[in-house]
Amino acid sequence: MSIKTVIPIGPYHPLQEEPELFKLYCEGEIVRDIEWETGYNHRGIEKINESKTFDQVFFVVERICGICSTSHPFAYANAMEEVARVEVPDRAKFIRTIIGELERIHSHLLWLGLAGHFLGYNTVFMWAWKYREMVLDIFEKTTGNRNNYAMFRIGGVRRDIPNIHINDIKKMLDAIKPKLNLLLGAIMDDPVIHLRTKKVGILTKEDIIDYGAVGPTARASGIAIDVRHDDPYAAYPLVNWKVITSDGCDVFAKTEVRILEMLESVSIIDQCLDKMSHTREGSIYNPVKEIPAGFGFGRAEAPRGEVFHFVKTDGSNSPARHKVRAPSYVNIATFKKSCIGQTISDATIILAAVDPCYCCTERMAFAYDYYSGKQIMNGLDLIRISQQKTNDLKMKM
Amino acid sequence: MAAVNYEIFPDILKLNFNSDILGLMVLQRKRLVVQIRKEALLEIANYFLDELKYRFIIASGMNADHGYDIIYHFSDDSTGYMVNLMVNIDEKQPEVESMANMISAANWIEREMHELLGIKFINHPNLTSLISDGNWEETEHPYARPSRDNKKSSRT
Repeated sequence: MSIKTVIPIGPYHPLQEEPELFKLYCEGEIVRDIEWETGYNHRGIEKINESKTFDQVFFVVERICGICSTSHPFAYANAMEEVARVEVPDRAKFIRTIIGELERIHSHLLWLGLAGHFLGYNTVFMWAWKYREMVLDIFEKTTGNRNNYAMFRIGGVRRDIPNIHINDIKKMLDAIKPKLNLLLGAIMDDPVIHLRTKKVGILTKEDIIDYGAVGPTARASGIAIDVRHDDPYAAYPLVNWKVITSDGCDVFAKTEVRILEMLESVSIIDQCLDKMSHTREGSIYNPVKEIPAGFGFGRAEAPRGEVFHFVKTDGSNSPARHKVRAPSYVNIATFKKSCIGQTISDATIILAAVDPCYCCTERMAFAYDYYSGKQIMNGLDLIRISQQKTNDLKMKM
Repeated sequence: MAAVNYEIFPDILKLNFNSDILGLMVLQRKRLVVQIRKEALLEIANYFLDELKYRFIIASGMNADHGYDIIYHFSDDSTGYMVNLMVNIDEKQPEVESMANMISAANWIEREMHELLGIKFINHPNLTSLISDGNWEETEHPYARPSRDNKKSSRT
């Protein structure tokens, strides 16, 4: 009988919104099976929303995720506007799109930094997070907040971006573009990153379809699904852009897709700012008097993939049922395919590759012997062995 | 996959599954809600997943007047069309066939609905708790409301 070692990552785990627990069953260095436990911090947000008014729900769903705090209000607004049958003014559409795309850039930069750290490239980590600050500065200028922007309301947005600010924002955006190209070059040309991420954590097209994975995880396996393109909302049909895909299916492909998406986002924001300047200042929402009984199905493309909100209304002022599906819910389940057969030192980057939410920044992981219960390694050791592998590869080159 | 003409799509559905469709609601912006018999769920879901290559988004379970409603959301990513299959489940016998053997994406959400609403999914590969630590009573389902309290006025 072979002896399997269990490496639990968790229970207070940063990989999703809530703390959770992964158990890697390993034979020597190789991961043979993975199990997960979720719900250590189930907040019951769907239930809470049934006791909130439609306007209050925005502030609750904004706090589902700390990193992509605008994607949930975006999907919820889409759902509610479907029920209320209200049109959003063009200027509000552009503002929504700008906020959504800025968020994509800062979220992808955050992921890139962490991925660099796991691989032992702390320079990438420092760069990515440094340049992320530039995006947050734009957020501060336009919304007044670095996170939780509170920009959305049913029928439009809460705050306008005055035309007088457009030039400043464009300048700030221009400063970000060369930095993104710098990161692109640094990662695409590095032979050690290629060795660490290519052919690692493979997810085939069939796996993606079976698990219903979305976002960059699906697009890196050659499946061109993107809600912004497939079921257009806000200002996405009004600007030129393309869906980024890759056929690599591995961690490298996911990195590539994310970096190219950031450049695409810069272009979308640029076009939105231009077009927005031709719309009337201050016309940012259409008032909604009443929400009739009905169903609303809203979705939005968050940095991690499709966010889906279903709202059932009954003619009162609060949802009768509100279902929220974050993209990590379907993406995390793919670990069952991507981790098995890989080494422990690659497991950290594979688990990080789908960009599960890193809201809770603490990581706790221990490896202990299945039989004696003696601790072998902890979370820091896991990152250390991952970084060690990169160093060994560098030495060999 | 053959291109679907969505103007006549409700009629095509009626033609294929006439006896299984209890109601059909065309909403704005490419949204369709189809109320079906729960016995026909797997067959119709298979039609969407296998033949039309739809993607399973998620399922939403909720309390209804006499039992529960589950809405299974499917998306056609080539057109953005969304089809929602709605099944009603009787309070006295809260069970329905599991879709998890057909598509892995349904695995977690069925476990969640089982835990929160108390709906049993027949032939689910692993119908264990997803959210709690397994320390809730067998009859404890926090989202389930008895039908007599189901009226909006009873909520605070």
